[in-house]
Amino acid sequence: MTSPFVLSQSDGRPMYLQIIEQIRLRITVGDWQPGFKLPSIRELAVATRVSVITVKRAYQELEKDGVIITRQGKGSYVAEIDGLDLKLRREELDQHLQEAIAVARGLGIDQEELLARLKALLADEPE
Amino acid sequence: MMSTAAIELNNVNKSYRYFALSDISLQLEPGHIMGFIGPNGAGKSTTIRLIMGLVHADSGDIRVLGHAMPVEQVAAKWGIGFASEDMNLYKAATLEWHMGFMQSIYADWDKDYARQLVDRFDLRPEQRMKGMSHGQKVKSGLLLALARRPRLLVLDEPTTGLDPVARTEVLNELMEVLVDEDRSVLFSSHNTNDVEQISDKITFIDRGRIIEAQDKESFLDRWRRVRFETSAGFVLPELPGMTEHRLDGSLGTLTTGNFGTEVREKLQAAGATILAVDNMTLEEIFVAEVMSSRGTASSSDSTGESR
Amino acid sequence: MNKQVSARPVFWQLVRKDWYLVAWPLVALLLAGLASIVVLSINHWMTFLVGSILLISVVVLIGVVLVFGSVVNERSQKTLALVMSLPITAVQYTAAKLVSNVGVFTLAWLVLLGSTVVAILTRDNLPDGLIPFAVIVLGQLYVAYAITVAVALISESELWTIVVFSAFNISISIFMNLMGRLSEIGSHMEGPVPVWNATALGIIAVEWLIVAGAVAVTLWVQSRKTDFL
Repeated sequence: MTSPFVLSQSDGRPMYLQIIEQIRLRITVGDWQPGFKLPSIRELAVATRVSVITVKRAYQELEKDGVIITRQGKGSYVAEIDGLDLKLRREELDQHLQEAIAVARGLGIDQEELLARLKALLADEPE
Repeated sequence: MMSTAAIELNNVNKSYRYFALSDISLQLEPGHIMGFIGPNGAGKSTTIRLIMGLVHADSGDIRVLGHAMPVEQVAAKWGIGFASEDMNLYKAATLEWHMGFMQSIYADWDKDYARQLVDRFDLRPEQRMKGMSHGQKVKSGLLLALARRPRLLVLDEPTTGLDPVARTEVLNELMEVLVDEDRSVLFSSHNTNDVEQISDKITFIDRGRIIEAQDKESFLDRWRRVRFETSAGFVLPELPGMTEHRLDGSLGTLTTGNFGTEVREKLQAAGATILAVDNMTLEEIFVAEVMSSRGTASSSDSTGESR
Repeated sequence: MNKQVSARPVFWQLVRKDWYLVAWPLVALLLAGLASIVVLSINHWMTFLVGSILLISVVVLIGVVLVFGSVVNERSQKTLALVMSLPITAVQYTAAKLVSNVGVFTLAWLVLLGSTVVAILTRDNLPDGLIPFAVIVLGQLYVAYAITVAVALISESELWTIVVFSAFNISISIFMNLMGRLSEIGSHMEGPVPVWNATALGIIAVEWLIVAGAVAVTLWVQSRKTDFL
């Protein structure tokens, strides 16, 4: 294994989500190019000290999302899609924004106010 | 080749004067780690003794590595590495002697791996057992079980009483076992933290009964703590898998072992707004399972009094 | 890959292990035994008495070391789980214990018997008629040991082992007294030749039947135990 993933038990999210995030991150930053062969489920499980079933679950989710492709008996590969890294970047951002939307809804904040808040925060951002 | 289960128990019963194991069924597939969790005195050790053929069941079938127990225990035990928290090595003898003893019995003893384990576990082979700390003794016992690379490891509370460093060393070695797809591990613990990260399957036992056995991801997936806000006159509907609920003013929490759209929809239909859906740790899930199986799930409802 | 093919004789490894674990006290006792034989062979009634008492004590102590060092301790020191995780059954475990125990004890006992008989035969002040009596009394020592081992293995209790062992040791002088009073035995003790009459042979036969019975019962009970640990 090249670099072991950094997984945390105190991170509130389930392990499989953390693994998904770490794999997506490697693809996003370009370390794992399209066509790159992922470590086998067992290899990754042993390297990260996480159960096989958890890693398997992460791979299944990634496959469902079209991020990786598993070839029977050969292993899993990063999907060969043009602009996959961009797509993943966008998905990552969307995920956070969706959480913000959900929180806003829970607090009874409407769409307009949410957008206004976002603009205000962007304006405050020191650059 | 059909792969036989590493461990298979079907409807096993065993009663003692003040304790009984009732209708125990469990299955461990090759290549998996099973965490066997239960409070002290729940029946973990008795189940493990049944698996090792040291105790005979009153009824039911036990097969280990394809061998019927206890009749074929000799054949089964060639493939089992066993260590238990209440197993001691010979006080007057050194770790080196113990390693030689195991090597004299098992042709598959791996000398090089044993040396590696000595280093990784930070042990001194020339030391007598009586001079060792608790952690060193436990690690020595595990070393003897691991160094033959047995097909099945049966470990009764292997991490109990270990400091965090030693525990990590041990858990790391257990994961290493799984590089080989045919090898399996059953390990019991009353500490869910040890089990949570590395187990594929989790079996909960309490008061001599298996209360739940599933793969870990399903456990973590099914259980949620839901926080919600209610409006006046809110009545909590019947929800699937609910083990516990609390209403405090207009805020409520509930725990369910069967979370899904049904829970969401019923809550919303009853007029509640869901504020958050939290994942639960295996420990919280375990406590909830035990409480609900004992029928002591706590529910408090302070709404009535405050209005 | 069949692991049984490469199986080694676990049984003898267990016996060897038991001997290794009690090796030091055993060596010390065997040396003490040799010393007492030297004392016993000095031609004086006083040294003979001291030597034979010493030798009997040594044999009894060898029994104690074996029973407690390898049978009782296996449970009380919680090492039994390690042994029972090896590819053996409870009966094989028991058989290995019997062999490691009885093997060493029999050796020590034969030395005791041999030196006693030689002493009686070679000394003018010891009538040869004593031999049947000596064989009976030493046989009783063996019976006591065999039953103690059986109780240790069957009862799994340190307490019961101590009780049985002590009871036999206390009763050995009563037994000697009883045998001496038995006219069929006692009347020939002072004689110039050993008399192997029906009573003497009968008692010896009963003693060895009890030993064989203790071994058989132990194996039988162990094979029927449903909870071994």
